[in-house]
Amino acid sequence: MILFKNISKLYGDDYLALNNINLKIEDGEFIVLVGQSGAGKSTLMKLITGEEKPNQGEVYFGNNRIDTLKYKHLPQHRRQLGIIFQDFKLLAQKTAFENIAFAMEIIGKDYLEIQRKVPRFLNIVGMGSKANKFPSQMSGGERQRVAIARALINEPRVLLADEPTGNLDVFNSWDIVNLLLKINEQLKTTIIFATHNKEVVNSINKRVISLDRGNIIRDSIEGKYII
Amino acid sequence: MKNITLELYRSIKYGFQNFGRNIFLSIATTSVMVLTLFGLGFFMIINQISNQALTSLQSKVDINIYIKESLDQTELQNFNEYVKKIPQVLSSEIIDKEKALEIYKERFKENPVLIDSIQFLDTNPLPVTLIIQAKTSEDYSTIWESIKQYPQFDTTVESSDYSDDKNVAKETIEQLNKIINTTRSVGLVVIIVLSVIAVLITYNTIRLTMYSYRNEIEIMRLVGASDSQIKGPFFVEGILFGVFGTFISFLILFLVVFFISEPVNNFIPGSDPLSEYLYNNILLIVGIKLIVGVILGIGSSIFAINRYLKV
Repeated sequence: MILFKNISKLYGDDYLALNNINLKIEDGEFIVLVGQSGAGKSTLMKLITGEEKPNQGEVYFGNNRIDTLKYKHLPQHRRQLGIIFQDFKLLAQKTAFENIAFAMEIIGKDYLEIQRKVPRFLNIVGMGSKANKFPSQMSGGERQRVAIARALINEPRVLLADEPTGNLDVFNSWDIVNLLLKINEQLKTTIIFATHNKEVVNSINKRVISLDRGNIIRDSIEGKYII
Repeated sequence: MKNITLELYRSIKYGFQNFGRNIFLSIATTSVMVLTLFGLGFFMIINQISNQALTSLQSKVDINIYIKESLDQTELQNFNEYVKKIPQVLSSEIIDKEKALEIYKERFKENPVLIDSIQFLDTNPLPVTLIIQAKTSEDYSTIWESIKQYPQFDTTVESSDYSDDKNVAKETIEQLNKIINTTRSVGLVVIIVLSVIAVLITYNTIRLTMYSYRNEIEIMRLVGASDSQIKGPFFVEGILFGVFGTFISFLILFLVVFFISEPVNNFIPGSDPLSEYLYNNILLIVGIKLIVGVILGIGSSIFAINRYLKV
């Protein structure tokens, strides 16, 4: 469960990114965050990863309060999350295999387990034949698949996807969305999915939270893209 | 324990991997390190050359004490013993009248007038002389004071080229001392300034290298890597910059010394060959380079990436 309690976030002196947000996300939910650029979607995500701290209010991840986490405790917290980004954020000097393996190495997995598990996840995202390619040798869609495999490899409780289809064409976007839906269904992973893609939002029938200038203006089960 | 070993192994592996996969950046960074460390080694050599030059200059300085005609051998020996016991005296040698004449002839062999003029005389006019060398050229005034304390001074010493009234040797020696001291302190200042510049340039180069890694560092943090997991490979990369820098710069230094050794040694006669200094101090030079290189490599890398460890 993720809980936002009276959250306000100010950038600089006068830019109010989030205004007194109260939001509860249950385990296993699939949440779609919609809103224009600057509505506060990314800020909401960053509060969960601990990249940003709120000016007011409390953020809970399960029973743990995370807005007060110290810098040195952040890695431990982030290892429970899988994150995918609009710009993929793959390590440029590492191959597809190594990028995914890196997430396992961080939590101290040994060589044998990595050798066993990474190819399986590469196959799940359809990148089995490109394990040794570097990000510069992959297309956008391929990079995002690798990023998803990396986010999933440690079987996180929550997957944050911040506009993961923003840089992709229609076909690749649908592939990624279907992958996310499958993960949510089969692994019961909580998914928070921020997007601009109206078509996608309208056809998947999930809980939609609409943000506008830092406020939640709508929160509907099986919602549509309305702003 | 298992985790620490694994983390260490991975840091080493990825340190080498980063170095190899960014080979052009690594070569550029290592080259700057090579320049810095070559400079360091070169300064050590320059310091050695100038010390050799100064030492050889100092060894040419001596003072002459002219002994009275009336003094007999025993008294002369006693006086010599007394001089040798002065702590600052390196050596003291008695030059008898015949030897003095030989030296005189040798020194002025190209000046027949002087040679002829001394042969017109019936007797050898040159006095018995005590040639004294001090341990350092700054000691001559102390030695002269001690000689003046000799109880039979008045009956022993005729004169000296270092007496208070005949100031030629005294002034020359004092001037030489001044030049030597100035040379040494100017040299030291130049070396310090150049070293600081070299260190700053190296730091800046490594900082730029780390700047190119700033996205990687942010990604690692977001994926949940701890600071030590992120820093480990950079630590190893820093060591590699230092180690490669040391060995390449030593190789260059070795070649440079090989080529300049002969002209330099001709320039400073009587000094030890430069290459001998290098061979005898290989461990010292390599050791200092290695320490400076590795500390500079690690320090700059870690200091530079700390800026990017914020998210």
